[in-house]
Amino acid sequence: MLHQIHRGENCENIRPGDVVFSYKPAVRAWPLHAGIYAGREKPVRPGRGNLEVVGVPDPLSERQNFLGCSNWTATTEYVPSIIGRRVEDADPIQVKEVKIVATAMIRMHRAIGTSCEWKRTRIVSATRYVLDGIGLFEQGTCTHFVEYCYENAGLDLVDQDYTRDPDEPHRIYPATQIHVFLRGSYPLRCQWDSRLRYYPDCLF
Amino acid sequence: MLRDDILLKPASTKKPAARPYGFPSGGQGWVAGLMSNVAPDLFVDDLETHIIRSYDKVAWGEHWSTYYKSVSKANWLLVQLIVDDLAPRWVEETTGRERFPRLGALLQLLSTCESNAEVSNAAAELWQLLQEDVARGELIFWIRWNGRTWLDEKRPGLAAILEASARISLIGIDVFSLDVLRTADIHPLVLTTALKWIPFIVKSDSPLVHDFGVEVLRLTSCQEAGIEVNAAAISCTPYVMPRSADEVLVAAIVERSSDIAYSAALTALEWAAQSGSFSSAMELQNDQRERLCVAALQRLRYDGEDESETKDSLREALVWCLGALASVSRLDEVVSVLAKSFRRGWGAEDAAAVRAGRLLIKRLNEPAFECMRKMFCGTEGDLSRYVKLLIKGT
Repeated sequence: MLHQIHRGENCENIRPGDVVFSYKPAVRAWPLHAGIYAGREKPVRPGRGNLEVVGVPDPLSERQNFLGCSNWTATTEYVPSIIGRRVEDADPIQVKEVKIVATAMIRMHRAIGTSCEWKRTRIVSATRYVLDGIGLFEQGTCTHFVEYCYENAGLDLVDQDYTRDPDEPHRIYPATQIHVFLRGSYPLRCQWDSRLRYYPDCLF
Repeated sequence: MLRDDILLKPASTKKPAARPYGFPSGGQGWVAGLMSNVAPDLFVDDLETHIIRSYDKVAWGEHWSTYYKSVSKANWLLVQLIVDDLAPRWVEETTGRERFPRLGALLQLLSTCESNAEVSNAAAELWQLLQEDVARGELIFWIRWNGRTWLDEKRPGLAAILEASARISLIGIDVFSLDVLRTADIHPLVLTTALKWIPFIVKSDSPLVHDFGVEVLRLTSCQEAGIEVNAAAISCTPYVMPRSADEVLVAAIVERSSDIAYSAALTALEWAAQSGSFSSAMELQNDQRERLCVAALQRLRYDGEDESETKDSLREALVWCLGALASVSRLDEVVSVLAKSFRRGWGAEDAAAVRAGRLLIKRLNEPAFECMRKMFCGTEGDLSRYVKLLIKGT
């Protein structure tokens, strides 16, 4: 289910683990950014309030290009513009697992002194397992991190074996994840369509 | 034979004298004698011929890489003695890039790095460069001669050198990392980088493991170092002091701030679930598991009833780690906590109860399931939802 807050829609009940997208069309290179909501359940209204979001990078926190957690408001660098909620097939508790994995990953990086940096390529450690046995997310994009947290809660969003951009097979576009939440059928398995690269083109 | 205390001596805190430990300088005899004493089958002739010729600075890198390949880690400190003897004269005769032809430019860049991002990029570049043996040889030499100076000058760029060296297990990096931990008032990024790599560079049979334990224990409660360093040190304790790490973790879980207790609970989870880089020597013993379980339950009694959002993460971590810590004798107590958290659902503690339940089933199987049935008694809806969630995540 998709809530386009920047178009005046309300979200009656955002839950920990839901995906928050920031959309700023004026930022031409990276108009979209994605993160995991880490606060408690509450309603979201256009232009009001703040949301605690975990993501990579987190420019509002002390270490700018790295994984972190910060508050997104209507006036911060990242704004809560679109909310993706997996309500069609998942128990809300399973979505909360996404949140505990995301926040614990920040803490694990701090605890073991590593830094999880924004990079184009995703690296999940095959040798360093953390928490209850999941590979440490070492680097990647915002959407790689979102996908990683959902995968570790058993809630894959995009099946990249089937759906991937042939020009950039390792990339996951935020617009593709927006499309998944709009369609409400998980994980996304379809032929690549170039509209999946951009928002609002992905709203089909 | 050389005395153990010489072989095991860690990197000194200042640049060594030209002829350390009183060995005679120059000439081929002492080098050959030294090497044949410790490793008679190792490259003695080569060493005699080339290491002395290493005054020829152009040839140094290539020759060094030959030695680097053939020197076992056990003999590394011996090689350091040789390096210490040869280096001053060599260093005096050469400068900058000429001295480190492969690494010179990058080291220059690292010397001025300030931000975390710069350091991180430089570490990646250095790691690429270290795929060449010659560059590794140069870096071994560089660390021995400049590492200490950069440490004293609090240069964050040293973190990149530590990072890249540890990634490839550069010979001698354990000794240098210990030196970093022992040094007071250094750049925090360098300190956390050294702590980060402890699980990989310190093996349970390393002669340095005790020394690492002493330093790590000090850093767990060193106020000047700050909370981040305290937390990083706490998470290292199972690797360097496996027999007493539970005491540190118990104290952190029960007595320290929410932040530190959260890190300690996640470390206990990782240790108990054996998901880190633990060797068999570092396995959590049953009595340790029991103490950690009691500590987590105790903290939950203090903070578990505090509904405030600031305690959400701590509560989640404590509930989660119970799944990896509970023994059969504690099952009733632990599962009743999980059932309560699952029903209450403050923050994401219900999700933590599910993850803990999966760990319990995996570890204790039938008794755990029986206990869950008992504890969810009378609430069939909750039980079936809980079981469904347990199955979904497996």
